[in-house]
Amino acid sequence: MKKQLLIAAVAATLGTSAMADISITGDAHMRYANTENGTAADTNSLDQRIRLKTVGTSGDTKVVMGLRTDNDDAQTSRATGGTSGRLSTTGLEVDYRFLTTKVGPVNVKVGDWWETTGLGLVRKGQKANSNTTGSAYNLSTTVANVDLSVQGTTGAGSTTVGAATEIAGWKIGVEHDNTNLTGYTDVTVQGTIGPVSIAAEKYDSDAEDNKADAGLVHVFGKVGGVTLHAAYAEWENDQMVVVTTTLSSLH
Amino acid sequence: MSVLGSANGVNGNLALGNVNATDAQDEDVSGVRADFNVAGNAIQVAAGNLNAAGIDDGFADIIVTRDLSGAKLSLSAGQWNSNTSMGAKIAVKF
Repeated sequence: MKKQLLIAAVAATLGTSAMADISITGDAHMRYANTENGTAADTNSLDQRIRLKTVGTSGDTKVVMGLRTDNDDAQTSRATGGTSGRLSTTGLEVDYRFLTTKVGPVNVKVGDWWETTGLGLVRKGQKANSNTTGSAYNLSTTVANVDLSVQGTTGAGSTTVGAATEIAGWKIGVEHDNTNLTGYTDVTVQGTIGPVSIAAEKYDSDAEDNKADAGLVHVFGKVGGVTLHAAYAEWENDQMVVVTTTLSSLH
Repeated sequence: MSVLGSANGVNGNLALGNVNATDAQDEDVSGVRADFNVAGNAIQVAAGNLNAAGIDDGFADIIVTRDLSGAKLSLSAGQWNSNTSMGAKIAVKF
């Protein structure tokens, strides 16, 4: 559901009216679990999260801000890693904030946000900025059916270039981060052969010894009223790169 | 969408959840999942093998989701590495 708040402000002195378009949406979940930990003590947990998303629109320009309260951490902004100044883990946080607009054919996005690379094999729900204090910008456009993008970050920044297109019904995407030792090249392919859908991803890390590489193959299709999935994923890990992904919610 | 199960507890929070490379282990997961509906309930059943953090073991996972008034209720159970869990989740979008 989406609620639109249309606020008409009459500027009497100018004899004109201005209208602001602000959208507010949100979501929440409460997750309880009881876990029997083998020979260790059982544990009960309750994960809580409430989020509000506001989008202010003026022409082709949008300003997006997400507010969040949860029991995960004490950060004011999870995207920037800022501290809240309070020790409570139930405070309100700025989850993300960014501005988007268009400059001719180029889409511009600036601020702090969360993003996923490829199908989410390695970089799922990661910070757009690669360090804890910086922000990011993203420039994107489409040329001859090819989606192109350049993304950079401030601070100890990185530059990432991406390209994606569709060839004969197969979606192909490539993303490359040129950062020394922590950069990566990610390739994804998605398509369908008859009733079977296929998605694959290869993540090639620049970490030392070529570790932190990863791969995924996922095939799925519908048989009667049942959708069947089969998947295999692997990670070559080391301590140079924190590879955090959620198998349960890959792409 | 989910490739494999995501039940609360052992499989939602760890076993099928966050695979973290800081342990310097090679890790892999393989499995199958089936999604279907029974009497208005969306059912997701998954099973396979997860090799993570030096533990190589099979997993099983089931989630049953049904609509509430304005929200969704998911009841789940999971098993991995001799750990089992039962969970419940209420989610709403507004």
